[in-house]
Amino acid sequence: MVKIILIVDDEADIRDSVKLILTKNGFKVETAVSGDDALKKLKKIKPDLVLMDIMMPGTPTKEVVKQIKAKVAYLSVVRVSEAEKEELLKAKNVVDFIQKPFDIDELLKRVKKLTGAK
Amino acid sequence: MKNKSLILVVDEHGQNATYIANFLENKGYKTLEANSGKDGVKIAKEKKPNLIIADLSLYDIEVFEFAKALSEIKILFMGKNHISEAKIANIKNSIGIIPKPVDIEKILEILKEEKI
Amino acid sequence: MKINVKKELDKNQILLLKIPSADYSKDITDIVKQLDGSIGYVTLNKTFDSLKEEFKKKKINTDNILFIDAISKTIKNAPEMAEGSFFVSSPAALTELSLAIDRLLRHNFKYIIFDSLTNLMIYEKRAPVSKFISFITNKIRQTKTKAVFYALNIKEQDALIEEAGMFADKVEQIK
Repeated sequence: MVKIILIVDDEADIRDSVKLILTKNGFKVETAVSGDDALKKLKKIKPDLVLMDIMMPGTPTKEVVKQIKAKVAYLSVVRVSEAEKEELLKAKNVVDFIQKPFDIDELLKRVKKLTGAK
Repeated sequence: MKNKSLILVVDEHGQNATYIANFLENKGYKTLEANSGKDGVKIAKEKKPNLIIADLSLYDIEVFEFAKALSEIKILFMGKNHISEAKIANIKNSIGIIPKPVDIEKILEILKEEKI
Repeated sequence: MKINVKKELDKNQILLLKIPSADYSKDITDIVKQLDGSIGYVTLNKTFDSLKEEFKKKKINTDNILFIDAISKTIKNAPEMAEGSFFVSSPAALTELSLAIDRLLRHNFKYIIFDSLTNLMIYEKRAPVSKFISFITNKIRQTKTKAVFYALNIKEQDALIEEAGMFADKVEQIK
């Protein structure tokens, strides 16, 4: 079954580059430009994984994550400590924390792993 | 000046405390003086000044202990001691440090900024 | 470290440093190592915890550093202050940021490091950012405190960085 990924990031570069590589590798990709936009999109789609920028204008990511059931992997330009990373991963549906700038192939590997795709 | 704010000046050098207090009285403030840290704490708890101006080199009490005992009151520190300004600035009720000998105009400027 | 920031700050009060993202982490710790005296470190993209961790790894003593962390509160519940740091609501809270920087100036810090203008520009529009930079550089100039503002090399921000550079005494590019 085709795995669906929702990318939420206010930077077009990130949305475009991630969408490109994931689509090439068999994923169906939807995008959103903010937390609020993501909440709207999530009323219509059920992604296997949400890649969400931790810092965006509008409703803070930490608030958005509380309101959704889907699995979330944070994309973060913010540098956090190991202890903070562990703390963020404690939230029920948060499954990974990916530091920006990230290696796009590494991201692909992680997405495959987190969605159980081949 | 209509402003009747109360300012406590704490300095072990009595002359310095009086000098500052007198100047502030002339500018319309009510003032009190203390010549030791512990007296300063006692008077401040009793009289609840709007601001405390305190020497950093108090001999009878540690700066952090002094500030904590009076955590509800803003403190403007003067002079110096061995403690880094990074640590003093980390004290929530500390509003700054002015060097000694004090520039009295600087104190007035700060009082104005703090709306005291 | 290719630039002697301490030396530059001996000659200039306000420095704008353009830092390439490649060695960013290493550059910021190298710069802190160069400076002697109290440092007010304003961070908009690295949490206080992560900076403490990083500095500990590089054996940098943080006793003389007070952090102003404008990012932690956006990703977790943080108090108003902790030992070694004050927390500002977000990088977009310019008034709060101004007050925090004011605190550093009132306590006669020797140096202020602003890490970074780039992050400020992500969260706020151009006009408020310009106004903010003008306002705080003005305040800094009324004191003896030296300040270094970091800017990452990002194409879209070139114009804004140029503008920010006008408030500095010197603009340097770290190669």
